[in-house]
Amino acid sequence: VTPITFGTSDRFLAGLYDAPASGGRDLGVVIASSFGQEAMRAQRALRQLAIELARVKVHVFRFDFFGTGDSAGEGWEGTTAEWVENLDAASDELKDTAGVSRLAWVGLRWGAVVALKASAARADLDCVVALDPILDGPAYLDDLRQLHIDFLKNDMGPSFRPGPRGAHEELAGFPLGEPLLDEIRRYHIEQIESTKAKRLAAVVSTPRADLARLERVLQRLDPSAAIDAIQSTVEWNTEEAMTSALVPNDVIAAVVTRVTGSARRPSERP
Amino acid sequence: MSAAQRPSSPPSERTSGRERAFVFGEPKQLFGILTEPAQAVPGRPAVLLLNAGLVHRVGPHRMSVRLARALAEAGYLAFRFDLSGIGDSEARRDTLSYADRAILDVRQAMDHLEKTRGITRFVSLGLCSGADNSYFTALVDERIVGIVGLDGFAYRSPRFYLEHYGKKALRSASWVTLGKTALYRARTLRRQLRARFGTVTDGRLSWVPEAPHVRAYIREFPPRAEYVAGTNALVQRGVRMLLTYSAGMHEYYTYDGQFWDAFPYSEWKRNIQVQFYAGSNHTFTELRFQDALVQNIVTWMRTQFA
Repeated sequence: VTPITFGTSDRFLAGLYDAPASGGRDLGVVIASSFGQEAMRAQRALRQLAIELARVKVHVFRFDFFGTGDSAGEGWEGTTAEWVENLDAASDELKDTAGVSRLAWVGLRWGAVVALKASAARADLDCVVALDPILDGPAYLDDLRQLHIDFLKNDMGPSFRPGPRGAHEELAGFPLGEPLLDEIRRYHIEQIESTKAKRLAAVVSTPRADLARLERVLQRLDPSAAIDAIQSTVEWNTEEAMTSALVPNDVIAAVVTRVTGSARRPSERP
Repeated sequence: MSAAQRPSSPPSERTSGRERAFVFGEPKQLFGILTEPAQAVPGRPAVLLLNAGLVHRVGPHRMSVRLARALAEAGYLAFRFDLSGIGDSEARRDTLSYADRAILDVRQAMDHLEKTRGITRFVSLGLCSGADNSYFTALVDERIVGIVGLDGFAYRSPRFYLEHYGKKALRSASWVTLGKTALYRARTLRRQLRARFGTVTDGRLSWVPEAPHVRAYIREFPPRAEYVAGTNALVQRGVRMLLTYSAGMHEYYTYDGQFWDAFPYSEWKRNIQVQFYAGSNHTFTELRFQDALVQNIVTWMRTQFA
């Protein structure tokens, strides 16, 4: 793995480039993670995804959005608008580094929202794969707030009450700034109106009731869009996943297939 | 930023102002990020930030990033890195135990900084298994002159039993709490079992094998006599220690001062400072405790290693 820093010195972004083992394809994949606790939980799975993609001769670039992971900035400073720019910059960086002309994006959770939004302005995109994408902002915030409470009660006992709110809303150990909170509050996936990506796909790792909604939106954007609904044997988005070396290989295999387009499958319903 | 504008760096390194990411170790398989102070102070020890469990180098709630940057701001070089098999470090293909492998990794981090920066003194900082690995490495490597152990080994005192069991038994509400806790624990166990064994399909439980070359860390506290002997050796060597305990360790540590009740050795007090975060959980989830912890560690470093 080769670490690469890009962006300006005070707002630098940390990335990791995985080169194909030999003779790479003319395809580079940028992996955009989420923020907060989800980004922590997904690190191992996304690293394995990068390894698997490199194994099938794809150039891979993982990076952390501004205010997340190894990148500069505080957690509360992140905004979707800046993260769209970050994804664009990461894509240019990968093209510079690997010399590829074709791009694909894999976005996880809110990273998928960023990727879908950014795809409206990027003409060199072969495909976007949304991995467990967020469909409804207010419901997502409710889930994160519940996670925060559960996180603490699991450690401290069910009678535990969190302390008073500080300058920023905190969700499971991470501060969120008002601009991002506001973006999430107002977001629903139907807002995504166009894409320049040639193909869209989604991989969903746990059963969810809103799959038809996701399918409707993706197929409006790309009539051939496909969804893989998987009952993964490993739930990556759990606290237990952080304490285990297991990764969701079934989910990773589905993403690799969608990115490389080597085995296009008909859309699956639960 | 175009390729022409980017600062040039070796292919296995990236730099950004005061942060530098690189692969190191023998063989080259460990990944770390060095955060440098604007102005290095000669003779000051560097701070090593170790993984907590399997959480990668950013630390629980990205706390290692905050700590490294705060320490650099205070004039200390900080190095956060992934132990082998964690984060972006490759797993070792050997037969060493988890504990021996962790010690080897930490020593290789020190070797690298000694070779490339001439640094010979280190403070090892870690939460949970990171605290344990700091302690064990310090026992065998004299380059470690300080330990910051967050929720490290804890030993019960007589008052612990009164605090933990006595008061609970007297409160009628505690029986309700006990029931709720049992329910939480059962749900947690169910999720853990699902993660380990997979899901029931067609009436059969699918087995998910452990990933190869990644050994599980099972936390065991050394016997009290062994801990006393080890800590005595560290104190005699002059190693300074900041040991913090959170209320999340309530199965082992329940009140401010428990450490000194368990170990009433005046000679330890010269080297060991103990702090108790009465309202915090194990991983410092709430930002008010993260802020306090970062501030207290920086303050301790300034007083011990000015």
